[in-house]
Amino acid sequence: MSIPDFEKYNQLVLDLFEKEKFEELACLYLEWGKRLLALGKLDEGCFFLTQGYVLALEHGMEEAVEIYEILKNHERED
Amino acid sequence: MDVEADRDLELVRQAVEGAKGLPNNHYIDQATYEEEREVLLFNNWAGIGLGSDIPNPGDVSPVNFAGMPLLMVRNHEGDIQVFQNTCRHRGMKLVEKNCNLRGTIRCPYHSWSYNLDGSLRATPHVGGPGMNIDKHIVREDLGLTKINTHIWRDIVFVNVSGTAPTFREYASKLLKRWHEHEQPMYHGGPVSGFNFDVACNWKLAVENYCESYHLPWIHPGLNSYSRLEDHYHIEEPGHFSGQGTLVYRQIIGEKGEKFPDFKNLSKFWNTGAEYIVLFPNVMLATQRDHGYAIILLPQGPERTIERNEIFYSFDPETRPDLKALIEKNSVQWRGVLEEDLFVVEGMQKGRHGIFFDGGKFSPVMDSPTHVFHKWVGDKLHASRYGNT
Repeated sequence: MSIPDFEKYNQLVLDLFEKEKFEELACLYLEWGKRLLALGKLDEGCFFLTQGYVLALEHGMEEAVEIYEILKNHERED
Repeated sequence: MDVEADRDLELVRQAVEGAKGLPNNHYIDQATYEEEREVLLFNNWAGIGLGSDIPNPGDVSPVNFAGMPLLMVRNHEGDIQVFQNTCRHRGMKLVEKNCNLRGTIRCPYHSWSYNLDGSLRATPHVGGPGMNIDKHIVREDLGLTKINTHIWRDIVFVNVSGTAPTFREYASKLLKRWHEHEQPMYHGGPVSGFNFDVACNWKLAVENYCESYHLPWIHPGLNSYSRLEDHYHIEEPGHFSGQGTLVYRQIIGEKGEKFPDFKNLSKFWNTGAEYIVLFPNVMLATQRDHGYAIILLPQGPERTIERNEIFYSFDPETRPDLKALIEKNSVQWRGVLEEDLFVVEGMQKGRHGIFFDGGKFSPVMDSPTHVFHKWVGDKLHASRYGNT
């Protein structure tokens, strides 16, 4: 699994923030976090997963459970 | 407190025959306003909004209550709780406008997130990027500050300080007086709620509402069927005061339709109606077929938002045939209540007259107003010196 073009990704994040499409944004963060974890980038991956976690909680998304489990397994969440 | 202020309060606390009204500083002075905010509004049970402001699970509504940021929340079980609308992290105001939340309340600053029961759910990056826990951050200790909350007649009451007895104890005398009306009440919908932004201290609205003395002059339209002598005082020192009438007449629609009565009322309510202020800030009407609440939201020493809300014995959704009458009733009450606005604003202006001494009460006609002034005086005195 490779890291996508960061510039492109970053622009997507900004667009979704601008359009207040927070559920899509949560999914994007989740995807990005997983990719980074798969590459062994623990801190970076957990950073993006956390971003996704907070938005998933806010919007009552079932993805919050999945993200929580990942973060907990890496001792990043209670 | 200075000696002069104490002497003024002693005059207010005397029997009505010898009493003076509250002096000007209680209406125009910021420091006195702030003292009264704590002693009168926060230490007692005050109204801040309606349950129907947040009708659906997940609805939240911020309220500025005398400068205090509060948040009304209806949780996913349907229960209402009020919190301080302030994040426990950096003190950011959490919610700026009414909205529905499917999940947590997220602080817009660093995204600390709270469940709708106020518990702290997430503290993102609190231990560094991607690290959401820290041994010094104990989430169990950092939930939103709960405000004592009680719902009565769909009114959301709060006791901010947490020092008052339970609401049912606090309002027991009024609940007993109006026990026949302890039955479901339904808000009349958007047309039955209207606000006034009034240039007066909140207490002047209370004082005007308490007494019937002003009716022949300010509400001349009532004279035709509800004369001054048809009214009586309602006085429960330390709790509430107001006025009643013996000649209440139901509003009638163009086809002769009327609102259905509340169930199983005694004969008194056939023509009786009562208008009472539950101290400090909720003005209520109880009648055979409908009632209303006016919630006073102080915005400073000289500005008050009045929320006027009308309630019925039936769910308006089930009676489309009464829609026009509900609208007519709203227009009628709005007209009557608007007639009072120049009075309370005029009294506010008058209190900038430096020689005004608080005023002289009519022992016969002003006693319900004096009951309120004495309540204010007693509360302030007790706060300053204890119950002496």
